[in-house]
Amino acid sequence: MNMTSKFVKLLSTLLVLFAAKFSYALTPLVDDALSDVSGQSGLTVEMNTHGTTTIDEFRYTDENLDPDELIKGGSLSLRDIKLYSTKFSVDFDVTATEAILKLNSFSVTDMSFGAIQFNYDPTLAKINPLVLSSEAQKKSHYGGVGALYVNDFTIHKDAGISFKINTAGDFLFNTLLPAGSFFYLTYTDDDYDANGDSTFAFDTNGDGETSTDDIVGKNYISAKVVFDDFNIKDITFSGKEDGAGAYLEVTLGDTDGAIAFNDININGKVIGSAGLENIKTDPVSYLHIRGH
Amino acid sequence: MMKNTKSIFILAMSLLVATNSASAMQSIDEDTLRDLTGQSGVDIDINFKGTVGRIYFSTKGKDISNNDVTNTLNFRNFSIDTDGTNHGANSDRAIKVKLDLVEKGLKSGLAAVITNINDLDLKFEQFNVNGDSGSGAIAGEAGSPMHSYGGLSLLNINDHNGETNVNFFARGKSGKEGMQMEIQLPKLLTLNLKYTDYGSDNTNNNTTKDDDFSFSGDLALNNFTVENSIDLITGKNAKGEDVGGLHIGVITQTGDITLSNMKAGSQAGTMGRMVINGYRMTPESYLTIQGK
Repeated sequence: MNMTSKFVKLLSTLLVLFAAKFSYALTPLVDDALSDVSGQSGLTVEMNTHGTTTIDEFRYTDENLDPDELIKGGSLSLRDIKLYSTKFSVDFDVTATEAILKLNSFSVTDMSFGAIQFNYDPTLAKINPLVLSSEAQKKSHYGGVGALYVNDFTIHKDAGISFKINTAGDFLFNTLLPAGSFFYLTYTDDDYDANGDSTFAFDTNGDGETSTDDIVGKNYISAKVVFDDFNIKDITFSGKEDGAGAYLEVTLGDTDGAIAFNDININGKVIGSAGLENIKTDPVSYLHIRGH
Repeated sequence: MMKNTKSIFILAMSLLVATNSASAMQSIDEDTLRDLTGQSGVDIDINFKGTVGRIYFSTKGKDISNNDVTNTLNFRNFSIDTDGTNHGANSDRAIKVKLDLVEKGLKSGLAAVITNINDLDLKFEQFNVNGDSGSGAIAGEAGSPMHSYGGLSLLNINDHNGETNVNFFARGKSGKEGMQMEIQLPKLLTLNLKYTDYGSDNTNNNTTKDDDFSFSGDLALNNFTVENSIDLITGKNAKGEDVGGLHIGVITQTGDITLSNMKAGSQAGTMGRMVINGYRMTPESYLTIQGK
C-alpha cells in the first residue's frame, strides 16, 4: 500500500467518524427513494449544525527571541468566533488516479470574528473608564484591531468547489463560484465600548430590521462581495525537500471571472463600488513557505 | 505525498525527541544568541507573474437630465512580474518575505521583511474614465473613444540588496485606536519610470507608435520612510456636518527623491536630473475618505 492509498484510507476513516458524529441530523431514506439508487459508490456527508457554533479564542503565537528585547514575539487572537446554523454536504469519491472531496450543497450562513487582537491577555479586567487602567490593560485593550462579519454567505447551486489528492502526491484545490454567489463583508473598528456594550446597529441584510443576523458597532466599513463565474483552477500544495530545507510549495493556478465589492459603505454612506476582472496567473508563479 | 508524509513523521518524531530530551538541553552563549533573528514565524518565497484585466472604481450620480448614471475609473491590464529578467520555474529569482508577529515598544502586530527585489515590474497599461471597460486587449482610439489618460510602467524595481520593512500594528499601549502602517524602504530603491500618452492610431499599447508621447526617467528613493495611522472615525465639523469616515493620518513621511535621465518623446538627449532632498510631510496631516 503506497502513501497515497494510506492517506485516502485515513481520510475515509476520518470522514466516517465525522459522519457518525453528526448522524443525528441525517434523514432516513424511504423505500421508494432507495429504489432509485442505481448502485453508485462513494460517500456523501451531510453536516447540519443547529444554533450557533462558538469558539472563544483561536490563538497563533510567534515566539521570537531578540537578545536586546527591542522586538519581542507576539500573538494573534481571533476571539468570539461564531458560525450560525450551517448546513452543507460533500461527496467523497475515489477514482483510479485521485481522491475527490466535492462540495455538494451549501445553505446560506453567517459567521463572525468578534475581535481580532494582538497579544490578548484574558486574565486582565476590561478597561473601566472610571478607574485608572494599568499599562497591561491598555496594551490588551488597544491591541484589538476590530471585528469581522460575514453575513448571508450564499454559494450558488451550480458552484464547483473541490479538493483532490492525486497519485502524484499533489493536493489540488479548485473553485468555481457562478453569478449568484455572494456575501456581505463588514469590518467594525469599535465593536464594543469601554463597558463592553455595543453602541451601533447596522442592517447588514438590507431587510429593514436590525435584530436578526445583523451586526453592531460604532465605526464600520462594509461591502457586498459578489462573484461572477469566479474560477480558481488547480492551486496545488505539495511538500518539498527533507530536513532543514523542507518547505511547502503552493503553485498558483489560473483564474477566470470577476469579483466585485459593491456599495462600499463607510459609516452608512456609500462611496462607490470596486472590482477585479480577468485575473491571469502565469504557470511559473509559486509560493514557497517554510518556518524560521 | 511521500515527502509530505515523511516530513510530518520526521517533525512529529523530532518534537517527541525534543520533549523527552529537554533535560539534556545546554545553554546557548551570548554570541550565538546574537545570530538569532526569530524562533518561529514564516518565510515565504514569492515568484509571481500575472495580469489583472481590469480594476475599477465606480460611483453613481446624475447626468444633466437628472438621469441615474454610473461613472467608472478603469485601470486596465495591470501586470506584475517579480523577476522581469528571467522567465522559468527554476531561473526566476523569487522575492523573499519574512513574516513575524511582534511586540515592538508600545505597538504590536504583523511585521514583514522583504528582500531580494531584483527586477520587479509593475505596469498599468491604461487608465481611463468611462472609456473601454473590457478586460481584454486594449482597442484603438479609432473604434470608440478611450477617454484614456495613458499608461504607466514601473520597471526594474531593485532594492540593491537592502530590505524593505512593512509593519501593520495595533497601536497598543499608546492608548490610540486604529491601526498603524509603517513602510521603510531600503537605503536605496531604484526603478525605471515611464508614462505613455497614446496617440490616435494606437491599436496595441504594447508597441510604441510614432504618435505616442512618452516621458521616462530613472527614479531613486533614498532612506524613504512612511508611517500612517489608519482608523475609522465618527465626528462632526464646526458646521455640524458629519465628517467621519476612513481616516489616514500621517505620522512620518521622509526621504530623498532623485529623478535622472529624464527624457520626453523621441528626443536624442535627456533633460537632466531633478533632486528633492529632505522631503518631510508634516505630522498630523491627514486624509479622510467618506461617502456623500
